[in-house]
Amino acid sequence: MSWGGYALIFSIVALLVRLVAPDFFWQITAPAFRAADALAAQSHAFWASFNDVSELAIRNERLVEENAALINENQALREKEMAIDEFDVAKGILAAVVARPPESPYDTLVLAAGARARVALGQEAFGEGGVPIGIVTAVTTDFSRVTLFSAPGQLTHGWIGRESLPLRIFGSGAGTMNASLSRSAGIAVGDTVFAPGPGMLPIGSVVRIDSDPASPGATLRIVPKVNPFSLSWVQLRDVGAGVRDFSVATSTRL
Amino acid sequence: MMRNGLLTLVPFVSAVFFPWPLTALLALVAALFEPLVPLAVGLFVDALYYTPGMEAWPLFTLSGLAMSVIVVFVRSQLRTGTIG
Repeated sequence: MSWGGYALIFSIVALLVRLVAPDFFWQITAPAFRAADALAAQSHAFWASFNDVSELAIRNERLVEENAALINENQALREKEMAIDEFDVAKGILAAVVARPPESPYDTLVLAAGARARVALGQEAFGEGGVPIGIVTAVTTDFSRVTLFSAPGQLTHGWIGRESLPLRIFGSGAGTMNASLSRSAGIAVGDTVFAPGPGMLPIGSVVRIDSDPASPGATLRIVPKVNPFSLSWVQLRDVGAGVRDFSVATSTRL
Repeated sequence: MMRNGLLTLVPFVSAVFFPWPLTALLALVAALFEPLVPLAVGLFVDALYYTPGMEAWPLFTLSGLAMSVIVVFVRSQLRTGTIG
C-alpha cells in the first residue's frame, strides 16, 4: 500500500475517534496543540528581536505611560468589581485555549475545560479585559468548544454608537464581523459595537463602512476588540445566553 | 520511497502547527507524488476542527477530495500520453 493509503486510513481512524470518543480525542491531541503554542510564542519572540531598537524605546515609553493609566483604571474597576461580587454575578471559569484560528479554520476555539470544570452549553466566553468573544456550543467531560461571534453564519444581537442603536451582527469568518444599518444613522469608522453580557459590553470596532449611493443602507465591517488569533486563556460565564436567541445550534458533540 | 513518506507526513504536522493555507500548499506538493494525500489531509483537518452546525459541508475534506480527483485524472492523462 502507498503512503497516501496509509495516510487516508490514519485520517479515517482519527475521524472515527473524534466521533465516537471526542473527549479521548482531545486528550491525545491537546499536547500537540500545546507544543504548537509554545513554538508560535518562541518564533514570535525571535522575529520581534530583529525590530529597530529606537522604535522599541519609543514603544516602551508609550507602554509605560499606558501602564500607569491602566493601573489607575484597574484600581477603579477593582473597587467596582468588589461591589458587583456582592451580587455574585461576576464569577467565571478560567479555561486554557487548546486550538484557535488560523490553525482552526472555522472560527472556533477548543478549550481545555469541560463539564468536569462546570462548563455548560450557552455560557459566554470573555477574552482579556472582559471582552465577549463567543458562545460555548459543545461540551465534553474535559474539553469544550467556543463558537466565536465572527464565525460564518453566527448572528449576535447588539448595539452600536453613542445612541446604542440596535444591530444584527453577522460573523463573516477570519475573525471579522459585519452588520447592516441605515446610512442616516451617522455611524463612523472607529465606533464601538456592543453585545449583551451583563449589560452592554464592547465586542468590536467599525473599521470600514461600505455604502452605495443608490441604497439607503450601509454595511459595517467590524473587527473584534480582542484578537482571537492570540488568545491563550478565556473566562466562561453564564450570562443568560440560554434564554437569548443564538443562531448556532449547541450540541454535546465536539 | 522515503521522500514520499516525508512528503505525506509534513502536511499532517502542519495541520496542527501552522495556518491552514500552508497545510493546503504542502498537501498540493505531496499530491504530485501521492495523490491520496490531499484527501487524507482534508479529512484530518476536519477531524480536528470541523464544527457541526456552522458549515453545511466539511470544506477541507471536499477540497482535498477534489484535489485528489484532479491529480489522479492528470496523472492518468500523462500516463496515457507517454510513448513507449
